[in-house]
Amino acid sequence: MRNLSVGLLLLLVPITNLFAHGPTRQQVTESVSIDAPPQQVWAMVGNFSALHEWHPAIASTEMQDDKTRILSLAQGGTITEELKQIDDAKMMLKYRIAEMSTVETFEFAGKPLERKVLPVNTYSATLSVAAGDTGSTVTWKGKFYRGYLLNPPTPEGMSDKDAVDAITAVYRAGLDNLKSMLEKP
Amino acid sequence: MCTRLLSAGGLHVVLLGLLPAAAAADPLAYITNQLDDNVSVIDIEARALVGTHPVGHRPAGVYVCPDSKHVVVSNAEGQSISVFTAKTKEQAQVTTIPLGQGPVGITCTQSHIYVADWYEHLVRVVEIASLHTVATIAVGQSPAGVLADPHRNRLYVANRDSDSVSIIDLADTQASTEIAVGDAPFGLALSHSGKQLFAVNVRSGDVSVIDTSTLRVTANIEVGTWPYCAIVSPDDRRLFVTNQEDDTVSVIDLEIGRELTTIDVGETPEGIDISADGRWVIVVNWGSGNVTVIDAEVLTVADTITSGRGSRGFGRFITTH
Repeated sequence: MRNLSVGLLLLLVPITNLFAHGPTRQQVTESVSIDAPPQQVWAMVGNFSALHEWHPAIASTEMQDDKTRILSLAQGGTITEELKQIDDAKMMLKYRIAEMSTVETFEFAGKPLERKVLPVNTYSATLSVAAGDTGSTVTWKGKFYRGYLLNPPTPEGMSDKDAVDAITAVYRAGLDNLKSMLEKP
Repeated sequence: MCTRLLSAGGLHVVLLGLLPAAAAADPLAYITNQLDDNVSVIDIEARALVGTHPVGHRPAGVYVCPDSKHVVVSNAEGQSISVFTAKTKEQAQVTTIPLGQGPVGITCTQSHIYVADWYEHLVRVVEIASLHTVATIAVGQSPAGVLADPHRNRLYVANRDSDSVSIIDLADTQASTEIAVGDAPFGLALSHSGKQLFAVNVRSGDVSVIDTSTLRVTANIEVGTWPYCAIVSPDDRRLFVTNQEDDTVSVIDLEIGRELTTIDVGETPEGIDISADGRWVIVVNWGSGNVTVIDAEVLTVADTITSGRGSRGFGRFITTH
């Protein structure tokens, strides 16, 4: 047991922490109805190594091991994601972002700051397929913190809204493309 | 319905048609809905939402004060706190005052409110009567959960990014101590006897048990993935812990020091509290925007009540606790 003045301890602990985050976690839920049987939809959505087959922003997927995929983005850069849970009976999978490539390093508030390919931190998400009124409903639900971990003002492109907008756009692009692929005559 | 009475110099007072935290009334749960900027009031016995009241921007922490007259709320992004004061049977006054850069953890005693600031790494002491900040106490990095122990005249603070708990002697803050716990402690719970303090470690997925006499960690109890907050039953026999990434609550038998069972709740459970009689455990689900009512006698889910988007209920949010 350390027996120190708490005031003094402020000086002894590291200032930065890899897992630090802002105070407000954000959430995004997007869904799409697809006129196709749930099993057929899950065959695509539930294949963790095949996101590039239906998401237009993903160029290719490389499996690092059974549970880790490295997504190469069409616009350049990579995102490494870890499969946390998959349930074929419930047609649901959970994953998290483990790592992202850096777009640029710039100075903000006197400190170097990295801009990642997505402006989010501590990101995890669930993708699920359920039987809809006619066909299926696919739901993509993500939770994350914004890109900038310290107190406001936030740098351009790294606010709570930027994080929500970016993830919403990713989900919409994927779900809308999935629908058009599966409903193609 | 609310009537603005005064809005000057950042001070913001509104009257709300809401039931006060009266000691004799049925227990109410005050749930902070972080993504809706409001507080839901739920009547636990009636299992009904009885009010929704605007507060500051991105409310997170909440605490029902031991005087049974005040409920305090931290508005994390609004950089303010809101204080609910019971006025008559039907009305309460809500006063919002600016406070710090990132107020999150909040607790109170009979006379003071303690607010942990996530960015400034300190705790502010605010006098309830005047709403003036009367002191600041330096703590570890990114303080989260705070709890006052009036019997020992102490304040406990979980320092998430220092992996420690600060034990602050309120009579002499210079004589305070910091002890190492697990990885990224967030929520704190104190036994009713006051003999044991529990720190919920988000990253190590366990609960550190601290003996409040010796100030040593006596055990680490494994729970689920990304655990967040905990509450002890009034008889000190059980500890309930929310597991954010498992959508479950771990039930710990404190006599044997291990997990007895888990209960499925809503999505991404965060805050947790128990009714004064020990019968109902209320779990606040951030992901699904609702609360799960657990019957603590049979350890099953009794009901689910909608609260709001991004519900957190981070603190002791049930009246007459």
